[in-house]
Amino acid sequence: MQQHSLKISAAQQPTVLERVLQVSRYRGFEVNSMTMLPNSDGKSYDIELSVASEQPINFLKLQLGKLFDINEIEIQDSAMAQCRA
Amino acid sequence: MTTNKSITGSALMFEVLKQHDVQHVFGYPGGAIMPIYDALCDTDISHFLCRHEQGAAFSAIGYARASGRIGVCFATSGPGATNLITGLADAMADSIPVVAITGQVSTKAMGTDAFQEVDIVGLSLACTKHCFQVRNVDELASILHQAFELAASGRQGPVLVDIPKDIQLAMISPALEVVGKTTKKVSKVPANVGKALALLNQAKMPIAYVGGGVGMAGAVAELRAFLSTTGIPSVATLKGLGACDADDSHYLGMLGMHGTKAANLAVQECDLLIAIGARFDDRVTGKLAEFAPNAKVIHFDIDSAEVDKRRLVDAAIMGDLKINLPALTMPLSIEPWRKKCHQMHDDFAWNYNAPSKGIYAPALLNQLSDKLPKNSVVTTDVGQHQMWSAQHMSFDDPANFLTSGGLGTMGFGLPAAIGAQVSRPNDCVVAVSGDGSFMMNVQELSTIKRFQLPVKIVLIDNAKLGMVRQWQDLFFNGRLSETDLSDNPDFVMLANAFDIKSKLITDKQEVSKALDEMLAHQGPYLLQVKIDAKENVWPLVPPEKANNEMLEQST
Repeated sequence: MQQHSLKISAAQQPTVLERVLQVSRYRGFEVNSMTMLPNSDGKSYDIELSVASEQPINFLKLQLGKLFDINEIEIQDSAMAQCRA
Repeated sequence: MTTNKSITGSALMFEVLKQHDVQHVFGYPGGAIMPIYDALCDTDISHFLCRHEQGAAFSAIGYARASGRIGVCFATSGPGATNLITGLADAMADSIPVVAITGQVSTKAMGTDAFQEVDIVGLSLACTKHCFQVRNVDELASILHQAFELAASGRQGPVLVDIPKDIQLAMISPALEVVGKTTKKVSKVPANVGKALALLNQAKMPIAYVGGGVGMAGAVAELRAFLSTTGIPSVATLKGLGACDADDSHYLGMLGMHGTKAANLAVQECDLLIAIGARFDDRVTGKLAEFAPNAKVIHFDIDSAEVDKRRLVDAAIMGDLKINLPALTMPLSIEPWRKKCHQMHDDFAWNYNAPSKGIYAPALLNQLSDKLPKNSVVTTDVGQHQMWSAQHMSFDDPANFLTSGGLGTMGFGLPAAIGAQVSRPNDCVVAVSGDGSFMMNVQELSTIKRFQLPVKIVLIDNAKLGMVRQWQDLFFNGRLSETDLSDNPDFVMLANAFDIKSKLITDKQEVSKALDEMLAHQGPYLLQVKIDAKENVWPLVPPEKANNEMLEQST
């Protein structure tokens, strides 16, 4: 399995962590670690997520990107998949 | 609009619904949603009382799919809310815009395992586009606006708004923001189609693979112009039926597990597959590694997560089909391929000559299709009757064929027909059902009776859970397990108990007159059609087989 890291900015809403974890699990990504800290802007969380999967990490990025409370996602590992416009 | 007048959260909710042009809602009251139902008395919105919240959710879905509007349903907390889950999952799977509003116990009681308290937000995480829980009446209007916007934007889907009882009762002096009609926030900038154009110009054997996205984009006209100008033969998914002109002899019908032989063979042979609002679902592809093995792929979609999800593509065109399809609309020189597809269309045409005296369901459904007035809506449940409807009926718009695709929910058809009839009161609405599916939301006959909705029900009755029986025969050595429904109720008597006119037919000589009588009847009608329990749906692509390895009816 490949290891991947994501940096996520998300709105400070009650269900956002649950949704990130649910999507990760459902789409076949095992969560190895997750840290979450409120951003100094008082409106968002900075989340760092480490996952493992056989699937390309871009799959997860695209699915997480559809969530209403997600502002931005960055793949932090070197094995970046191509993302189609 | 600013007002000094204090109103309750419930009244404010209805003001916001009016702003979004909500005219009809489907629901069922209960303790935690009583303030909303009290405020309902002061509104012009028409509420359709269903008899199970699942029925309310499916009615909202039918309403949305038949009209292009957002479907709205209400339920109380606890079991009322959990009864919505199947409907929400169905709307999620088929990308249908629904706003579901649930009552919740008071904020002070939340988290204490209160009476009829359930964590509906938690439960709905996996089956909604998003869910909101209102914790303060000041955020109620804004949340509702967001819910409507989100349900209808991009790839559409269900949104749940959970409103605690004390928020429904709380007083507020609202400054209602002026809200325009909910618009889909899809990019209006044409996509870069250069690579796709090159592929199109090189192709000698292209096929257009048309999915549910065409209807949802309101792009039927653009699709038909594309097909007519390019001359590309086409196939459709279950949710794409109605998008192509069914009278065009280069339209090869539905593809996939129960697709036509012509459609499946053409796709297996093609050198370019143009997926238009379709997602390479497993019911369509069969063995994925062997699907369209010779084809390069162009994929039009609104959801970037669908591109490369199941099949790596050569060119992806994201965004609005209404804008992007015209960019590829040009004449092509593919006459030998067109001739070949036309020949396959003719060679593998359906045969309706069934020798027995009994009723052959495909023939009946084909006859029904010919007799239906223009702009009729057909809904189905799930199973053999669903596949026969898809194979043997013609539709002139995807909004005229409502069937549960992604989730495949038995019990969908009757409440969806109710929703469709409410949204299109002047159009004929027919629910084609099976005896297994029909029992799953049979209580909605009460809704038909209450509102005298002139829904026609064609009940294909083989006293079996037919599709499962077929699979048990084919793949489980004929060991039948829990598929015998020979203890069904008397459906004619059942319909009569709801003051619905009904008739039973068993002989093919009775079919034409019975269909005419049903369609001419002013009011709801149930036509029970007994068929041979041994009839199977053909062709059938077995699991883990390529689509060209379909099983066919032995002659």
